[in-house]
Amino acid sequence: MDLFTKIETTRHFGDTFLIWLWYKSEINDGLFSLSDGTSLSLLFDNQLILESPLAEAERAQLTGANPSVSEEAREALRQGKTVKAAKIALSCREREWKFMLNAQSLAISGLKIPALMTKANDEKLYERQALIEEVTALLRGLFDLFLNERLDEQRWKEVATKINEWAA
Amino acid sequence: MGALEGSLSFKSYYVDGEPPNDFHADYLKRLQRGAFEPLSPVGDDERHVGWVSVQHPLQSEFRREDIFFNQYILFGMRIDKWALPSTWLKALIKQETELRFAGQDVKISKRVKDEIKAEVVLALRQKTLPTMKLIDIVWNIAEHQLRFWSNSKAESEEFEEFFEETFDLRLRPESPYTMAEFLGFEQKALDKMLSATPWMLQPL
Repeated sequence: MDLFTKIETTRHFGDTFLIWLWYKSEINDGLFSLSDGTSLSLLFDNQLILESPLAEAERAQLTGANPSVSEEAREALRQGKTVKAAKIALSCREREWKFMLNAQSLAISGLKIPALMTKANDEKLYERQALIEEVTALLRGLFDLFLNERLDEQRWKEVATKINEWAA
Repeated sequence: MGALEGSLSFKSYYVDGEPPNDFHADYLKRLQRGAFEPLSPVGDDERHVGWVSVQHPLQSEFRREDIFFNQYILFGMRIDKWALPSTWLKALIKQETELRFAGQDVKISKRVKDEIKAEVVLALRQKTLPTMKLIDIVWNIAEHQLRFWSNSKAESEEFEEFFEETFDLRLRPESPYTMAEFLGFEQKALDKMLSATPWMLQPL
C-alpha cells in the first residue's frame, strides 16, 4: 500500500480524535496530562463545524461564545454528524494558543500564538517557530494519548461507551 | 508570509531522509538551481514558479545568511503570472483591428487575429507587472519537519513535486497516519490503523 492510500484510509482517526478531545475536555474541565507528565488545558472555543459523514451538504457551523455546550451541537452529534473542525484554546505553562484544528488532516490554521518577546528578525523567526513547534508537540502528545486508547480494544470499548452516553 | 509575521495557517510535513554533512553548500546549490526566474513580457510563458529568499524575494541569487538560521532553512516559493485585465484586452484588440482594417470589407483570418492579439498582449505586458504570490517555507532540519504557509491543495501539490525534485527528498504530509508514524507507534499498531473501520458515534 502506498503512502497516499495509507493516509487516505486512516483519515477517519482524525474525526474520532476530535470527538474524543471534546468529550475528555468536558468531563475533565479541560485538563489533560500527557504521557511525559506535561499538564495542559484544552477547551473548545467559539467555532465548531460538524458534518454528516455521508452527505457533506449536511453541515452545521456553530459559532458564538461556547458552541460545544449548546443543544444544537449535541443534536448534531445525535444525528450522527462528526466534528470536521473546531477552534481550540490550548494553555500550557501560562501560555495560550488558539487555532482551528481540521479533523481529517490535523492541520492547524488561524493560529494565534502568545505575544513575542523579541523584535529583531532572526530572533522573531526562532521565537515564532519555537511557539509553533511547542503547540504542535502538545497536539501530538494529545493524539498519542488518544491513539493508545483507540487501538487498545478493551480500553476503547469502555471509552466508546462513555462517549456514547455523554453524547446522548 | 507567515514565517516572520502575519497569518499562521500552514500545512505541515515530515521530511524523509538525513541531510548530507555539507548540507549548507548542497542545499544552497539546489535552491539556486530551482531559483525563480522572472517572467518576460516577450515569450509564451504565462506563469513562473521558483524558490526565492523570504527576505529578498526580488533577488535571484541566494546568500547563505538569508537562508540558514541554526536548525532552520527559510525560503519561499514565488509564483508569478500574467493576469491581464480581460476587458482592456478585448477593447484594445477591437480597436487595433478597426484601425488596421478601417474602411475595408474583408474577412480577417485567424492568423491575423492571433497576430493582433499577440501585439496587444505584449503592449499590455510592457505596461503592467505580473501578479506575485510568495509562500513562506520553514524547514527544521534537526526535527525533519517543514511548514508550508498555504492550505491550498493545488499550491501544496505543486510545492511537494517541486521540493522533491529540488532536494531529492520525500515529503510526508501531516495526517493521523503520519503523525502516528512520527510518534513511534510500532508497525503492528500502524497496521491496526489501516485495517480499522471508522468508529461511529451511537448515542445511547
